[in-house]
Amino acid sequence: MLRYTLKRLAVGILTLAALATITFFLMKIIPGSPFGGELAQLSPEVREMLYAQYNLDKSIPEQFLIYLQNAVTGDFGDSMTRKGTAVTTIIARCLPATMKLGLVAFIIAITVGVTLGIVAAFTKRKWVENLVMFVATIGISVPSFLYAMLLMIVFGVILGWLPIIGLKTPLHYIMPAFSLALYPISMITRLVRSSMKEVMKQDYIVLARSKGTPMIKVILGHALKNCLIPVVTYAGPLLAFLITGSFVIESLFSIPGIGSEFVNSVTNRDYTMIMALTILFGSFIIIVNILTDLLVAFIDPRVKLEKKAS
Amino acid sequence: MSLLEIKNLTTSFATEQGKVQAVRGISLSVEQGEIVGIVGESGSGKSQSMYSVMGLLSENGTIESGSILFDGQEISPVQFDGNAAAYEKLMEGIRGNSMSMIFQDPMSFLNPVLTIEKQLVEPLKNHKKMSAAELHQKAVELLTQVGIPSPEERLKQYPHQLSGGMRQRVIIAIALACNPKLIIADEPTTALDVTIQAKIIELIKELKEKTGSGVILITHDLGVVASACSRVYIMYGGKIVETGLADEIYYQPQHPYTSGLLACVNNPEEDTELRPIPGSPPDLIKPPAGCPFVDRCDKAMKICKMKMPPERKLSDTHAVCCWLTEKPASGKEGE
Repeated sequence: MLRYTLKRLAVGILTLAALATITFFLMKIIPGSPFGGELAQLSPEVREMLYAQYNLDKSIPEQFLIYLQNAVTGDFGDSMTRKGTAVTTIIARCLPATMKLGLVAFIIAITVGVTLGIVAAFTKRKWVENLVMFVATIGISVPSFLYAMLLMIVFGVILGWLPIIGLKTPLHYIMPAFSLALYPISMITRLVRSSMKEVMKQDYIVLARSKGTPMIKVILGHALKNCLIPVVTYAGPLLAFLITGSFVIESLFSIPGIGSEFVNSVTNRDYTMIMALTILFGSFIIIVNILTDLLVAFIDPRVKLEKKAS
Repeated sequence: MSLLEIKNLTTSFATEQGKVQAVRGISLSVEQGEIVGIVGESGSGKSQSMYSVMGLLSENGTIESGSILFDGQEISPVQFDGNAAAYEKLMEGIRGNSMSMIFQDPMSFLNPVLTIEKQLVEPLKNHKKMSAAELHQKAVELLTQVGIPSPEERLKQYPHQLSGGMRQRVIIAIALACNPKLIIADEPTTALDVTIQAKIIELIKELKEKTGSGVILITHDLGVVASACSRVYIMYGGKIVETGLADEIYYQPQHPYTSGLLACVNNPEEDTELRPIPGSPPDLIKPPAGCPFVDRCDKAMKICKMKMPPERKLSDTHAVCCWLTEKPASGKEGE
C-alpha cells in the first residue's frame, strides 16, 4: 500500500513536470504580453527594464530553465500584473475561501446526491422517482449561473433570507455552495439510482434476504457498499474541481477566490500566475486520483493495487 | 403433521410479454428428517415454487393463491390480503432461522465486498442473541462443520479468495447457522465440478442426519436424486406430473416425461444410447389447457390436448397425472 502510494506520487511528479513544460510553451505561443493594455504606453526604456526584471528578454527555452530552477526551490516568481507580490502570496490569500466553499459544496453534493439516489431507487411511489429524476435532469442541463442568479433573486432579494455577497458567515455559504453542488448532486443522484437498481438485482441480495435480514439492513449493509464504487470514482475528480473553484460562481457572489484568479491570469497573460495555478490544480487532481484509487481498493477487496511481480 | 405442506400454490410473474404462470397449483409435503427431490428442467417452476415458499420472489412475482403450512403455521402471503409489510415481518422471523435456503451459484450469491465472517454470522445476528465472541466461535464451528480447513483464516477472507467448492460450503454453512427445521437446496451442485458435486451432496446428507432437518433438493439431475432423496416430485410446465418414492420413480415411471428424463441419464451398465426428449417446454404465458407435456409426448392422445389429467394414486406414495394411466373402462379417451 505504502509502496504503491509512493510509486504513484513519483509518477505524479513526472506528470506535473510534463504539465508544466507543455503549459509553459503553449502560454508563450499565445500572442499578447502581460504589459499590454494601459501599460502599452510605457517608454521603451521602462519596457526593457520590465522585460529584464522578468527575464522576458531571454529566449523561451532559457526562460523555461530559469523558471524550473526557481520553481524547484519553491520560488514561483512574482505576479506580472501585480508588481512585487509573489504568486504564492496571492494563492495563499485566495485559496482558503475557494477550498472552504468547495468542500461545503462537495459534502452537500455527496450527502444529498446519495440520499436522493437511494430514495429514487427504492420509493414505491412512481411520482416521487419521476420528480427526483426530473429535478436531476434539470440540474444537469441548466448552466450553474442561471440557477445561481435564480437563488439570489428568490432567497436574496425577494425573500431576503440569505446574504448575497462574500463568505463572511456560514449563512453566506448556502447559496454559492448549492449553486456549485447542483450539477454534481444531479450526477450522483442518477449514478446512485441506476447503480442501486443494478446491485439490488444481484444474487447476493437474495441470499442476504434469505437470512431474514430486514430490507433496510440489506440496503445499507449489503447494497450500499457495492453501489458506492462508481460514485467514488466520480467523486474523486469532482472534489478536485470543486476545491479549485468556479469563475462563474465566484464572480456572481463576489467571492475573492482562486477560480476568478485563474481566469484573470489567463486574460492578463500573467505568466507566473498561470504557471503556478496550473501546477497547483494539476497536483490537486493527481493527489485526488491517488486517493480515489486507494479508496476504491479499500471498498472493493477484489481490486488489486499492486500487480504481483511476474 | 408434515413439516411443510403446500396446497394448490400458484405463482405468476408480470412481464412485458404478459403474465407468466410459472407455478400452476402444486401441492407437496415434506416430513421432518427426509430429503425430498424436486426434479424438472429449466423453466419447469421448481425453483420459483420454492422461492415462493421462502417469500423471495423477485419484484414482479406474486403468489396468487394457495396455502403454505410450515411447522403448523400458515405462511402464505395470500392470507395477508395485500398487507406486504406484515407478511415481510413474518418471513423475516422465519427466513434463515427455521427455514433457510442453499443457492445455486456460489460465484454470485456471496457479497464480494464483505468478509466471509460478516456474511456467515448475519443469520445468527438476526435471530439469536449472541455476543461477539460467541458469534466468532460459532462461525468457526460452522466452517469446520462444512469441512473448510483453517477456518480462522478463511473467516477474514473475501469470497473471491475462495474456490467455487469452498464458497458453496460457505453458502451451506450460512443456511445451517441457526439449525433450521427445513433447508431448501436450489440446485446446490449445478455450478460445481463433478468431483465436488458428490462431496456436497454427501455433506448435505450428513448434516441432515446430524440435525434432523427436512431437506428439499431442487435439481434437474436424476443421478443426484437417486443418491440422496427418499421421495421425488417431478415438475413440468408449472405442475407436478408425478410423485413417488425414489424407487417407484426409477423402476416404475408412469409419466412419459419421467421415462424421458430417465432415458437421458447415462447408465454405464446398459450400453444404451442417450435419448434426449425432443421439443421444448410449453410457453407459460399461454399455458396449454391440457397436459403440458402433450406436444413432446410420443404417446399423446386426443384428450391430452384438451383436458389436464387428474392426479391418480397408484399406491400410498406413488401418484401421477397422465391420461395413459386412467383405466380404459372410464371411457374418457373416447371423448
